Amino acid sequence: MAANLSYDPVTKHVSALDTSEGYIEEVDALNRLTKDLVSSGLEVPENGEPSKQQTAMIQKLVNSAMDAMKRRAYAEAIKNITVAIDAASRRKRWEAFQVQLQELIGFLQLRTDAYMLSAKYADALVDADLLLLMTALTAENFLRKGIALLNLGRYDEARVVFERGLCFHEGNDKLVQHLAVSKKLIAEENGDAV
Amino acid sequence: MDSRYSYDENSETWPVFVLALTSVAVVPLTIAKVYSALSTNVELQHQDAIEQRNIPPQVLKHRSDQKRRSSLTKKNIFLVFGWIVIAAMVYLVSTTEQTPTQNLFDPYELLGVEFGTPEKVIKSTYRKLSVKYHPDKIKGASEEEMKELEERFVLITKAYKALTDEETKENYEKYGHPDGAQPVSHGIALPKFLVEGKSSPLLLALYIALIGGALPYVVGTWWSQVKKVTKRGIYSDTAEEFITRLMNQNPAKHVGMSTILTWLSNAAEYKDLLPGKTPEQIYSLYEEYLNRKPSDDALTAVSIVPTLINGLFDITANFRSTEITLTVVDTLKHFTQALPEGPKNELLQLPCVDTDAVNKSKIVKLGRLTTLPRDEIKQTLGIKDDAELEEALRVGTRIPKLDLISAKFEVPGETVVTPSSTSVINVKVAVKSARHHKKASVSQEKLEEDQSLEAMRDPFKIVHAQPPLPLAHAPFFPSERHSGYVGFIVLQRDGKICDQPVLFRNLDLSNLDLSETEFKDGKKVTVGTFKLPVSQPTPAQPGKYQFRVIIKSLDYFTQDIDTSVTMHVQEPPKIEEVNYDIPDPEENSLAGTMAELRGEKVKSGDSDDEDEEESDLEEEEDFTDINTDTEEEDDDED
Amino acid sequence: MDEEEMPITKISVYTPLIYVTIMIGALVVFSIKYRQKKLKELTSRKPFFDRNIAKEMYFELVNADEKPNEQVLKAALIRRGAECIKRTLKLKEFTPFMNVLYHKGSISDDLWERFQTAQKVEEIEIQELVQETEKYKKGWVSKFLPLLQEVCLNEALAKKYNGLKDKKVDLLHEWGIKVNDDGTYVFPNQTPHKQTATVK
Repeated sequence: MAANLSYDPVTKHVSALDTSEGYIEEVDALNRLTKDLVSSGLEVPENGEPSKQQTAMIQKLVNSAMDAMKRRAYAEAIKNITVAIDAASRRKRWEAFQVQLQELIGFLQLRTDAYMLSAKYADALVDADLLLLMTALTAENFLRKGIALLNLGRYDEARVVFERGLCFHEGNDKLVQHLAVSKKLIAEENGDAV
Repeated sequence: MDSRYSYDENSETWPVFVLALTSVAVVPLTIAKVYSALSTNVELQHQDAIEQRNIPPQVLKHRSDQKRRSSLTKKNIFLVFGWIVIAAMVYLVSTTEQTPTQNLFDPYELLGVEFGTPEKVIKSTYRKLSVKYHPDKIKGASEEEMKELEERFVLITKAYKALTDEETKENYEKYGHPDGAQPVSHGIALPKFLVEGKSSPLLLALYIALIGGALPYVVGTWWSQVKKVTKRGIYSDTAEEFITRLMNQNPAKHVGMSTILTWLSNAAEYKDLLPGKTPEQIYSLYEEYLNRKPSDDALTAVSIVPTLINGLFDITANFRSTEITLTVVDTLKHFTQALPEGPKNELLQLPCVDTDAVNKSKIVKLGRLTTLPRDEIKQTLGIKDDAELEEALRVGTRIPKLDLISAKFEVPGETVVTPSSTSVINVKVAVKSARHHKKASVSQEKLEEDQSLEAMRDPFKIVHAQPPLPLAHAPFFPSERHSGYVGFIVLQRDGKICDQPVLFRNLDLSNLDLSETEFKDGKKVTVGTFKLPVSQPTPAQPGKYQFRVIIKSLDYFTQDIDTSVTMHVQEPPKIEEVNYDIPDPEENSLAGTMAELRGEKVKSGDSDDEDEEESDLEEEEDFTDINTDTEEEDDDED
Repeated sequence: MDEEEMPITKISVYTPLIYVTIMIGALVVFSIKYRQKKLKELTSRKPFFDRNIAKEMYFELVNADEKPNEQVLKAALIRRGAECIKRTLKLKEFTPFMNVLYHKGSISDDLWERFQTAQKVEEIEIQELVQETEKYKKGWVSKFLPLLQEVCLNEALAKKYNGLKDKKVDLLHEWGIKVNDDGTYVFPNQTPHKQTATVK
């Protein structure tokens, strides 16, 4: 069998000799898992309780981000959250998924707002889109995605988002208001009477 | 050779055999071809298509080449050959003498009497005839004539016996001949020269080759042909390719037009259509075409793209991928109009426009363009010539836009959407031109449909009754394109497509001719109908269920339908119960007196009103709006 | 009455036997050849999913001359398991879709069979995995499958998050929106004046 891997017994690192697409990704994933397992010091991965240390550190970062938001230092806030997300992503891969999911949802919601307020609409859009994909189907998240789209000039897509938001949150004022705004913008873009 | 089988010595029967065989194959095929040719001609003569005046020369050449190629297909050659053979056989049959195969013995004919004549008459007729034909009685005839007369006499005698004599009669009835069982001759419709003599082993070999070789080969190739193509019109291998790619698609990666082009370029059809081209080469052919510099190979490659895309969105819709499906449909628009990816395609699909000028301007939609003063339009489109401007606007104002009037779920035959029923989404639109900017006020009557039983049995009749859509304005496309729309139903709960895609080929486009005021006024406005069947029955639980309906044009970058529709499932309204009880007869009436005498119950005349029950007011249950599942996330972060 | 003498042709006893033998022989040969062809087709075809890299890596490590650390092997086993779970979930999700397409005639019998074979392959894979776990720690099995699920989901989430940057670039390109160095956008259409979001 052709050797696609080379193993370094000192670092316990595996490196890819096969450079085809996806192979490197898999090798990285393996190394990551090995590192997790080794550093946990356990024989086999134990039940996925999130590490308290990491949680504390992450919380600190989040707090400083929220602080920056209050001071309107959006770039700083974004940086802090991104670091927090990276820190969170270093959790053991076998730690409870739901916990990691909820954590990420919280981060992204914060970051989306920061992006929006610093006019980085495209970044805000993809974050908000991921939030909805993670089934965090709150009215706020629909608003986040929709408003990002409006600011990017994509009025038809925004209208679709607001309409979907209203399916889950019937009569929500902000959604209704923004739906009307998107319809108005569509009519303007088409030269139609509003 | 066995003498019991007589081969076709005089070429009487084998031409008939060949004729029968060939006709069975050729005649139905010809009828089918003629029918389809006639019906397509008729179809093309419907609503005014946007005249295509700017077809580039290589496209024109390609189209005429295609027409020539399609007429020289194997099928057509076979048909021509077949008809020649039929003509030859007919000629042969009509010119060869037919020798009588069997001597049918008809005693009635021989005696010259009718069926059912009494014996007495038969006897007397026989006497007369025998006198005529008795050999002793004839004199001076030649030997031949004598023989004939003798034969005749014998036959007459036999005939008489067949009708009178017991034994002979039995024979006649059993075997059709008074002499008893006749030798039965079988004929084989093969000319003798083929069977006997030196060519007989050849015939045997041919026979073996036919049964043992040609037959399995033909059946085998027919079967593999059938297996090769799916019911959707694409090769099975291609369907497999699409599904494999879709399944292995990284969900984190955005699927754009380039991904779709990669998938299309790997279709198995290209191995037959453009042998020797790799998928990468096909991809570059696509790019050539989309940038409007196509070689003939590019045109050939693009000619099958609509079929491939049709097969592809069938698959992606069934895999519930909304985004990918919509991208696939958009890709078809790009191919129909020969335009690359970009936000300005509504304007770029017009003839005579300058790409750079269009890309510089901030105008994106046709509707907006028509509101501008002429000079600005010229500037936006980069047109200097007035005639060219007219041309661009001519096309631009005849591209249909869809304005939504209403979209709702209906259960045919019911006033509300009932549980566990078959429903249909009824979408009413007002087709409009880029010239129309006001909303059409459409009267309620126009939206009402025929409520007759017939209409309820086939709710789609109204859709098909609309005139067929004309040819699309697609001057760059390698062949003529029929317009169409495709409809999807999306479940809002998970945002995924939840039903089969529906193709529409009928819509009334007469609104395009109306003026702005006429359109706004609404009297002359024709309402268009799209109906999407819902394959799943409505939920059994009453409540509100949310869907999204998308109807996209397959040919133009234009205003499509994309709207949210609620399915409000309710129990049907209860009919007030009729009280069928016959009340007891009143005391003072005749009936009452009779009842009393009989001893039956009678209603006393002074009965209080308190005995009367109040009719139950049928309460219509108010169904609370049942919201679909959400994960309510309350953010406490500030 | 027919009184002609029938010419007597001598046919050997063996003629019908030879005939039957030839016929049966031909049919047998045909069926053997056909089955061989089918088998060749089945095995030579590309499998449903792209190559199972995690599985390959596991086997390579386990069979290597220098056996890596046991933790590495366990990690490789977990990765192999996570891949298996991912495929099983995908196949489960796709089963109703493939069903509909098959009954519609949009896919061939061949593909349908291959799809079902793919499901069986993953089932066998799970069993193999369970057996393997016993080699590393007795009784690991009970915690192994839930562990795989967590790993699979977490990895998928990470993948989605990591794909955001590329997705943004793709969307902007598709929409013809250019980004200046300072981060501001150049839109192809007219956009509203600062529509700052106040979601709260």
